[in-house]
Amino acid sequence: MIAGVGIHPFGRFDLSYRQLGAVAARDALADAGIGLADLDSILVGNVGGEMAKGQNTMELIGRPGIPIINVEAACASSASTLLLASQLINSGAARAILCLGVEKAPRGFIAASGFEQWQIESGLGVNPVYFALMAQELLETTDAKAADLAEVSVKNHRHAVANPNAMYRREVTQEDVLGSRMVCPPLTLLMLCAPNEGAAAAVLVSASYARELGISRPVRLNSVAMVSRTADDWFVPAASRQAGRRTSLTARAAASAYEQAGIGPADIDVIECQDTDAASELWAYRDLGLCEPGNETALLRSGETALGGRVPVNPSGGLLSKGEPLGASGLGQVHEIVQQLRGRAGARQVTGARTGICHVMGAGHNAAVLVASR
Amino acid sequence: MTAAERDRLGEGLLAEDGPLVPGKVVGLRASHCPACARWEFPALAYCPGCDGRAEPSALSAQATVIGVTAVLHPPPGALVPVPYTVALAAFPEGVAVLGVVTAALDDVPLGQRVETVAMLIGERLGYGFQLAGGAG
Repeated sequence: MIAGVGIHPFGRFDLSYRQLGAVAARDALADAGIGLADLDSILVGNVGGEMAKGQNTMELIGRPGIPIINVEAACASSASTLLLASQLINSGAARAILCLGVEKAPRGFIAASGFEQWQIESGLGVNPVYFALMAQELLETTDAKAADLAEVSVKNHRHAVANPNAMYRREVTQEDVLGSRMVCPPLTLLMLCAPNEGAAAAVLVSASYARELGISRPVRLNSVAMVSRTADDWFVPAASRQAGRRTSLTARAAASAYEQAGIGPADIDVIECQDTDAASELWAYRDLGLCEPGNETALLRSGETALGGRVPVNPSGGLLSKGEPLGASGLGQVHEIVQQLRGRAGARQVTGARTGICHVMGAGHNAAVLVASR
Repeated sequence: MTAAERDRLGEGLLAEDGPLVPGKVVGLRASHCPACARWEFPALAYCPGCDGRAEPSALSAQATVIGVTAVLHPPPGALVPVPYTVALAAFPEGVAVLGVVTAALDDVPLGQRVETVAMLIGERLGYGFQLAGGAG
């Protein structure tokens, strides 16, 4: 069960990563209505921080004396904390765990995504190159047009206007997106998320402990599924792939998450997905099972994935609007889904949302999908 | 220092052990699995397809572009001046490799034939692609 969630808004701040993390952790504990003394352990997801990052962050809140464990899996770091916490709780090894994701990423291209030095010097250590090639494949093999890529950004930025935790809260037009600086064709600046700063947290508890603590209306974490690379996946930072075939990390994670939760794509009311770039969201429509291959743009154009549609995707504004604090982005998604399931998402509320999913992908070939419900 | 004496970039990217000059057509050093015929670049000791022991081998020089984009703003650490074109080039052996192409993006359509060449990256020799049949 998710007893509480917390967040420090995503953006750029004159605060250390420790301070950002402390805000989100304190916020989540307050939301759950429990204290540090009620926890069994703390898991901290972060990519770029220092040694003993979780320990140094928690020092700003208190000294609970319990295990603090740091977890890193690129953009799936947050999801890794949730996987471990749910497994520890489900096994009976723990009753309550605080999961914290925190990041203070430098501006611009993410410099160290696991590339070898020869790739970096050869000009190949560039994440947007991978996203651009995936975008091109979508444009070449489906009826997707550059305007559709732009529309993903338009939709998500429109959603973000009502999200006080997002970095960019201004509506943009297709012309704005297509006319913004070209980064790696066909992707323009406004089709790519910006690495930034922020923190998010969730308190996971066992069902019995939730009752014991008197937590009202906890959100159920039905499943957390995480996968790593198999033979024919391709993502940052691989220098090559098999030419004739490519499997999907996201599709495997989704299949596992749905099976564990006993649901299918038709049961989902709201989705937060890894819109690292505009095309990634369209690929996620396919890989999460929202549509048949080739129907991604039809689904987008139908408006069903916008607020007010059948299955809104990224009502928070997504990474395109929130920015991406790598280690915190997954728990940021969980924060949004929990608010949606509680009916507390304000102007971006998905009416009657009962089941939601979160999806992340990380460099080094990770993907995670989790299902939550009320 | 003469061009022929330049250090190689990375470890074992190029199949040729002899003297190299920038622009020379070369094969990439890859690995080949005798059990399942899968190729990998850079070379791996074990095949990710079947877990069999893979053998070092060389890819053909020529490949076909199956994906292409460009980098317009300098990435941290890159020694290639922007703008430059990056292609995903499929070799007849069945593996597709990312590499810089010595041609403008508009001159590299999907399906374009390219060939692997030794390319000067900073002070060292790595690989790149040039349009097949052209000086690039």
